Amino acid sequence: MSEGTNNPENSLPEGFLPLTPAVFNILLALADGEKHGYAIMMEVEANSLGEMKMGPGTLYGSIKRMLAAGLVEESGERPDEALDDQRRRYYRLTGIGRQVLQAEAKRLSRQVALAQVKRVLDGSI
Amino acid sequence: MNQTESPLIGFSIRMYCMVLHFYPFVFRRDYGDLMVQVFADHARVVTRQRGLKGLLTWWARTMLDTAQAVIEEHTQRGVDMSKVKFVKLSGWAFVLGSVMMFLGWWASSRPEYSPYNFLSRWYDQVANVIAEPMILVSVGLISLGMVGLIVRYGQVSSSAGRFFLYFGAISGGISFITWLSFLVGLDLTGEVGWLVFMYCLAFLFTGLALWGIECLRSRLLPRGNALPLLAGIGVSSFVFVGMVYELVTGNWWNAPEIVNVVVFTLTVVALVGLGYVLQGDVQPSEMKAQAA
Repeated sequence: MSEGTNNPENSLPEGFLPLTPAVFNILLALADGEKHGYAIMMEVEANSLGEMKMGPGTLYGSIKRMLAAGLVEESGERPDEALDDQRRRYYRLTGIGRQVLQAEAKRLSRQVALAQVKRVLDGSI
Repeated sequence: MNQTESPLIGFSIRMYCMVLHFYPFVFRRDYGDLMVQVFADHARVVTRQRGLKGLLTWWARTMLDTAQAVIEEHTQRGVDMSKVKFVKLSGWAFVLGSVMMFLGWWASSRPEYSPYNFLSRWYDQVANVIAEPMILVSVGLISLGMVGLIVRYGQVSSSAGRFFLYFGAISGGISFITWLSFLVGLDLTGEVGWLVFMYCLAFLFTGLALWGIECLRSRLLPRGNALPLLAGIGVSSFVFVGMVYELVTGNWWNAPEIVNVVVFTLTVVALVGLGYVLQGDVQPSEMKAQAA
């Protein structure tokens, strides 16, 4: 009898789509490396030019679900005590998290391409 | 909190710690300290940059966020717990359904009770009465187990896998309704009804067996990934062979007793195992994974 786990890596990225704006932006913030909660929050705000403002509740509610889904994981490494607070938890993308981010970005880019074809973006409709 | 913290920020942090009590306990326990840290970090930054106005703006944003997140977490917890309970229940439905299927099969194989028949036993009176209701209940419970598999593993299965699960569950439901109609005397469809019952029963187990192939390939279950295939293949093969035999010869296939015993024993043991795995694989965090 084969043994296994509910390994999220076995899941198909498309099964997670579409992502909520919070989840997509958190994945995007982690695309270039691991970050702690506050850094994620600030990067999401900066990336969205201030349009996406998360508070601690939305941030950690999303992180909790993303951890459970296997999209992100806690990094075991900690920065030097002199450089940062040792109590912080750092998060990074998992393999499936990266695939889901790519799949969602492609999905959104197809939507934008469609909007361009329909001349939505140049305001001519 | 550092030693030179302004009293305003210290007060804000203490207030925010109180606000956290609106969240579910488990969430607060797991993420409360981290949320306080984020709140405090940003409170210091905005106070340094924009003074009291910045701090009040941050408070307004935090309260709005708290209102949304508290509702979200409590709702999610409620949905999560209902799903957990349902999946647990459906796991036991598999276990009970398979045992009842075995008893129903055994009861239906007993001769009609007669005090003048030396082959009759006292318990045949009971067996004659319970055989048909047992089959009805077992089909219903096994179909419920299939719904539990959809709830628990539907999201992590491929679209084909999901289709097989739905196909099996719907077929089981139709089979249940058809048998129920026999029991309550609404045998409106006659021979066709019997065929519908048998084919749908076969489809129920076929769906389970086909999903079982995906379990073997993708290891969807935490353990015992061969169980769905083992549970599904016996009855579906048995019924289809019987149907083909009947089509070719015009007679119902009376399988050798040993075949019956092997098929039903294999099915029951595998279903009991599958039910046991399902009822134990209901970690709330994993259920929530499907909502991410």
